[in-house]
Amino acid sequence: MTKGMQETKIPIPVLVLWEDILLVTIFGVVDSKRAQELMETALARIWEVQSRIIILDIRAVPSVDTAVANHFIKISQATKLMGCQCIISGLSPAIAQTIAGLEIDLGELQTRASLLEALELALEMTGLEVVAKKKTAAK
Amino acid sequence: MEEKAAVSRVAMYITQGCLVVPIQVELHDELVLQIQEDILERVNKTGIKGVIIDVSGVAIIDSPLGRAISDTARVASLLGAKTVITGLRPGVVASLIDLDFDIRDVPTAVSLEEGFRMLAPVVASKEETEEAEEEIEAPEEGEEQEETAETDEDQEVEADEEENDRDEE
Repeated sequence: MTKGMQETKIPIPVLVLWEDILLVTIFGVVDSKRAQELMETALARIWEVQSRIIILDIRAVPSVDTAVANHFIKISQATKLMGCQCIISGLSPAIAQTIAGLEIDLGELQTRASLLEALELALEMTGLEVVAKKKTAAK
Repeated sequence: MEEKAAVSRVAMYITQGCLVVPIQVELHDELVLQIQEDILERVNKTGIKGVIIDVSGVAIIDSPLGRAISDTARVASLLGAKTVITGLRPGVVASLIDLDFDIRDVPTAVSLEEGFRMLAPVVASKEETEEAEEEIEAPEEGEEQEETAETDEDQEVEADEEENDRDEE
């Protein structure tokens, strides 16, 4: 590596989706280095915001093997230890089959197919529900 | 001659029906034992139902310390108090996970507020807590048992009345 070359670090934005609910959208391959960055970033944000739930959306993750599944399990154990429940969303049927086939114990990890469902679960867990505004009666 | 270094006592306080133990110093074996003793003594004397151990001031918790904390929680629960740990720092969590240390048997909360919320169902009513805060001396066991007996009887009487009402309908 020449001195001129710079390593571009892709930032991992951890967004506040709702009060008490964080959201991270994960892109691309999750190797051990990326997983480590993800865990550090997530834990730091949880500490800062004190949220009770963190959603990891993996729709843009191409494949999940034993190693990647274990990374996610480790991250969810870490967040749970801090008092923050982890929900993984964006599981494709293929990834769901892969994970089921691995026969690993997901433990505390909650999973949902879509971000919408994950948000519904998160709201339920924080004691919230979405209610339509009442329409005013026509005179 | 060896002089025993003065081990600072960790100040704990009772609020919202819980014994809050804020640890703002680095933990070592002796201090942990002392904290354990203090907690158990307070739980025993006041009959408090909830304990919050806040470790937000602790940068390092290794397996032995983690085990000591979960032991404290286990003994406190034998004495009738539920323990919640709050303030686990990212660095602490990362190392505990790496050490594969399991403190899953002790509930953790992301903040002090969340800790109180988790303990709300088990803590004593406000009045009982205020009495406990005023009297640090252990209440007489006889009195406590009588009070509990009366409550049970009252509930039984109410239940009988309800049954009678239903029969009449």
